[in-house]
Amino acid sequence: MKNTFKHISKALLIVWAIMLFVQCSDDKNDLYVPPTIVESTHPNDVYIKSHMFEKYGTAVRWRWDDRFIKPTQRAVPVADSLVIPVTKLVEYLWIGPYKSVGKAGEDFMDKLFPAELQYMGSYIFKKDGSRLLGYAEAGARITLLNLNAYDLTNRDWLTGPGGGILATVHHEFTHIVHQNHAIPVGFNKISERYLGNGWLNDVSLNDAIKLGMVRNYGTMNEHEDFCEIVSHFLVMTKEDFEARYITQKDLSEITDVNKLKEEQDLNKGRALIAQKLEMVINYYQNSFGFNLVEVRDEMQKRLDYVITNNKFPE
Amino acid sequence: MRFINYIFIALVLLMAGCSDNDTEYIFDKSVNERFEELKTNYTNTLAAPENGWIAYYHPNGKAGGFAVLFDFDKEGNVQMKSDYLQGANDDKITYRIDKTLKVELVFESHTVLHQIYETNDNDSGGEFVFNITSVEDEKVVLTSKTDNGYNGEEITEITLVPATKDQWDMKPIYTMTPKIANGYQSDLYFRVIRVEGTDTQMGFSYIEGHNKKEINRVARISYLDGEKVSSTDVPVAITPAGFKFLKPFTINGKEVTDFTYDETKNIFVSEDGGQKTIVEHSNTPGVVYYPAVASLGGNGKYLSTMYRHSYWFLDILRNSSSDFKALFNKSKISRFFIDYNEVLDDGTKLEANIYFEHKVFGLKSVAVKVERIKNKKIIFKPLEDPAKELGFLYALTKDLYNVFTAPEGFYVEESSVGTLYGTFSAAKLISVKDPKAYRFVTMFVP
Repeated sequence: MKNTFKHISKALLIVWAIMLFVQCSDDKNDLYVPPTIVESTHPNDVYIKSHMFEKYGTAVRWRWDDRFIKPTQRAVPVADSLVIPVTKLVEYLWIGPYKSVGKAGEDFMDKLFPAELQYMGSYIFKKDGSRLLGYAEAGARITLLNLNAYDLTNRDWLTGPGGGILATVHHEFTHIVHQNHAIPVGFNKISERYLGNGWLNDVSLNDAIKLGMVRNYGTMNEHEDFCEIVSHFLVMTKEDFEARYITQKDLSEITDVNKLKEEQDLNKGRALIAQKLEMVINYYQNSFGFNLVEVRDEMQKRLDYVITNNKFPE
Repeated sequence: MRFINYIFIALVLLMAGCSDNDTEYIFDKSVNERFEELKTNYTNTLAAPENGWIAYYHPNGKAGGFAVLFDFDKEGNVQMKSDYLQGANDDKITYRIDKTLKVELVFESHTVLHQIYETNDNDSGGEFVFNITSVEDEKVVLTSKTDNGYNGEEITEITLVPATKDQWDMKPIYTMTPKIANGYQSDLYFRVIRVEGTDTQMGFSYIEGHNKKEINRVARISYLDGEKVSSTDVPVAITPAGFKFLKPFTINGKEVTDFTYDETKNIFVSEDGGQKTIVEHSNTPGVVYYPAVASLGGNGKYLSTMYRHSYWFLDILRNSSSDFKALFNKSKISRFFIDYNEVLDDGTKLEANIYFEHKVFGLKSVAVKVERIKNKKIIFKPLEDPAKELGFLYALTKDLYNVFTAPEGFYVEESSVGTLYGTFSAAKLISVKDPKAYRFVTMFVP
């Protein structure tokens, strides 16, 4: 009797479970209608589709959409006449130098070039008075700012470390690299310390170099340090970069004690930067199979062309 | 009971559960369908007027306004034109009707609304993403999506009304713009707004200018409020015929808005409210209220007016009237200043001494008595014979001295002098007898 009841209960349970799936089968939500999507024929969208989406699988957002900005932040959209020129810049001075070094560079970009680019016309100004120069998110999206200041004749707008578009682009792209592959092992141990938010406290360029970083922002943490070194290395001329950050200065002529101490500390910092740079170059060679020096040389060649001719080659 | 009976009961129960399971929908269409319908309606309305729309834009009710024209098409494009920076940001851009919490109109790429928004590092108010508040054939009201109205800040709102073909030609506005400026074709110093046939009169000043930090296009109207002067900045839009206030302003109990330029008299006239309200240049202030009369020369500091070799000379020169500068140049003196509350060696206390310095005749002074009429004017009354005290220098400085000691006295405006070493507090003395001719700045020497 006990067994019979068990069987009946089981059977009822199975039937009930089946009926749960089939009951009310005619109660479909037929009021849902998906939104209509019409493909844009705007020249910007047509260009972006053929030059970014079909080639790299990257979506470019240039029309204003406040979902990409926090309610406390303020920015303005990019001028629509600048969307195609900026996209050409992205292709020629960002993607191009990596792809020019061979298959390893092409694979690197195919894998890591962000799935989404967001263009904005101004910097993003925050309530606290500070401003964002650009940012990378989730290893997949980079937001490019201050694009309405587009000026190919202005080397500072292109490469200036405090907001130049290429410095920002390569800084943010390097975030995507480490967000996917981590920074080189041991990189964070070369400098004695990082300053965290203390980087905001009037840390001068010399202060940063003494700590083994190329810019005050790099003193914040090892990730910003890594990105700053890569972006400075790529966008600065070889001569400027080495003179400022690598080459040990001859101190034999300095007699002033304070000046001597200052220069000694700077030389120590330069040695740390050189050590980090070597580690970074090895990291790119070993992890991705290409030489970052070749990328830098190609970048400089292209930059010279753009600044001299005020255009991109066809 | 047989097993089949249990199954039968279970089936009956389950089917009963479905018997009355119809959902009562509030709407007969999905949210996307309803939004698409609304979007189509709004797009049709926006694109309908033959000559597009015109709005007068003044971010957060503070600065402006600027005439902005919109010509929407149904494909998501809008041609925009404005008189801001003489149309420097006119462009055809894309727009989008979208929905977040409300249905909104987004101006998607950079044009005049964004250019104004960018002032002062994007911190000058304004908007380019608007909630669509109301849509009618003859009027569309758009309200800022991000203004929150905290701290009493006005929320940016623009009202679009159908434009005429003529309004797309901005040249009449550009022609009118200089005529509104203070001092246009007039050497009278003051400007007033008054109601004809009444005693109602207020001070009027037009302030216009744009730079990276601020945008101004306002009428500053000053009036007596009890014992002191208050002032209100009213946003102004320039029209082909004159100008209009973008916020209601009441004068003599009537709300006035639209002013028309009268070329023959160089005045602006409003007939609003059935009264004739006039904006004109004047030889007398709209409101006589000069509290700086009390502080001029306080703390025993001397006031430098003209001093050819000083680092403040250039700015003083720039802010003084041309007739006064001509008198100073004619006098050939190198320096002219006033020393207040001076105590002479014999213990005599003088209220003020006027000093003149000449490279040949040296430094001479003449004492004057200072009479202050509270909040109205200051008068320098002769105490000594200037011919005797100034000697040969009197022949050169007589006209200056007479201006200075005119019995009508001076209005005193607070002022400042900009120098290479910073900005210093100063006062501007305006002759009551002849304000258009004699005005000069005196600086409190540090």
